[in-house]
Amino acid sequence: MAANTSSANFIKTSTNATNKKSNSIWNDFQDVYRVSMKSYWDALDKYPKLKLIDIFCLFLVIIGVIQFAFLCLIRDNFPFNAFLSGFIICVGQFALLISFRMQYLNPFPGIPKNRAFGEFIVASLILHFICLHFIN
Amino acid sequence: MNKGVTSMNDDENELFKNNFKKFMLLLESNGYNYTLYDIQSSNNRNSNDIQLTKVDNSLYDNVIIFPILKASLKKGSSASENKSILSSKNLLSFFNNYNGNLMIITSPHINNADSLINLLNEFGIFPSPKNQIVKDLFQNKDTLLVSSSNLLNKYVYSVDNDTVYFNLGESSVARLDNREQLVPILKSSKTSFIDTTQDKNFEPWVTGSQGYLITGFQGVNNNARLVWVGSTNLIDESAHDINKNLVENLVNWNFNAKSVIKTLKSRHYHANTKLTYDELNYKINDVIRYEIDITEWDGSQWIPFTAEDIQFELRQVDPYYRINLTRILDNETNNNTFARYTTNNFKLPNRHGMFKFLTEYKRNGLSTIKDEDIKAIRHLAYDEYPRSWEITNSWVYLTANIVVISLFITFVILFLTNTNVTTVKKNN
Repeated sequence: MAANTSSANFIKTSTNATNKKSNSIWNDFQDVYRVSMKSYWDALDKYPKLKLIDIFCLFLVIIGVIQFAFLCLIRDNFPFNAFLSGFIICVGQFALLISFRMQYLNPFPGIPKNRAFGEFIVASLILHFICLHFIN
Repeated sequence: MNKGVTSMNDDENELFKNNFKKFMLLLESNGYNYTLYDIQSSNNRNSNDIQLTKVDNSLYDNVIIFPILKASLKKGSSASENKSILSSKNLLSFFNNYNGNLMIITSPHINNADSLINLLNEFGIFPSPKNQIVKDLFQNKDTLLVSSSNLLNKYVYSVDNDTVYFNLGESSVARLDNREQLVPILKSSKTSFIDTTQDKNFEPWVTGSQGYLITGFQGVNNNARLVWVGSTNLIDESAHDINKNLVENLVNWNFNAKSVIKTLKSRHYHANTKLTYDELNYKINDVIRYEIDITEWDGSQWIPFTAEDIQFELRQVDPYYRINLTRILDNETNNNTFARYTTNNFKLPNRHGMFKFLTEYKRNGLSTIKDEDIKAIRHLAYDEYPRSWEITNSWVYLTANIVVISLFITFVILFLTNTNVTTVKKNN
């Protein structure tokens, strides 16, 4: 009897401990989320064009997802080059945009923002050229 | 004109001629000229003056060999068995290399010549030894009557209406090897057996319908034909009238005058433009039509050959297509000498490489047809693929491309022109 109750107690305490632990992780996560959102909104206020970049990012993600969903829906990848072209232009444009965004927030030493923007445009044009040819 | 050579065992020519007079007349009436040679008479012993072939030409189209005593042949050419005209090697060469047809008749009463038995064994026919004679107590005791229901090959001979009986007298019976070239023609009846009361040392060779009384063989590549008959009574005077139809059909089949078919011409072309391969090479997914003309010899002229089971194959190692050919019956091809068969239109597979256009028709008793044509089917050239806008599926991806590019242009314009936060907000 005694042994049983003690083991039951032990289980109870251990579950309590895990609850406490997960609660603390959740709280930490909430804190981090709050702080990062706050810094994000601050950054938006500080750099007004950041909003433009992020909206473009969001559109790219949506277009990519739509194409993949279409592929899954018809269950056929027949013009596979066309799918690759459409999907890669989204992914590539997204990658270029993110790298431009990083330089826009924290410019690399020796590379001014205007030059970064110019490089972004040139790289994007090359990407579009390749993708249009790939889709044939 | 067909030529025939007959070798015989009978020392007395007159007796032989009397015995097989009607058979010889039958040969003549079917258009065969023949020459008789007496292998066993003393002046032909060395048989140098008898030749089946000369340099590269065969002197005869067909050879009928009547029963030959083993002993007599040995006496004649014991020194050079291989040089004898009737050595199995010579006869096999005549059959294989010169497309010669052979009719070999053996007798159950004698020890037949070794060379003939060896030759038959090589073809997969194993005749019963001396004195193993087929009996059937349900029939007349002296002669063996076999009903036409035991006929096995409709291309050699078939009886349409009532049952007919053939008189084989006293006959040997053969066991057959399991070969596709063999054409069993007449099997012994269910109630037949081999009488071993005379010589109890031997086991019966076969029993019942296991045995075959008449058997054919057809070479796969050259369509030369061989017939073995186990009884001289089939063709001699005693039962000529009752056996006449069977013998006539048997001889005509044997000498390639019956059930002979061949292809005249095969062609294939683009189904829509009628252009042949030489005018416009085939590429994958092209629609093609294949045609083949097949004709049959009816004994006096070439007539259309009709069948519903001829198949065309498009092969690259494995068949990509196997199509039943259908006969065309229009005015253009409706003539009396051949039948034109077609696959109708079919689409070449989505695979490039060397393809074989093949028609292979092998039926037991009919001469074989093999018509093949190897052609290259090319892949699409770089500018023959459909463009993206021609494929409806790719419209989605094409739109995505255009949207991303136009978004990019808008983004650049907005990014450069607007410095004010509020205007950007309005735009979105």
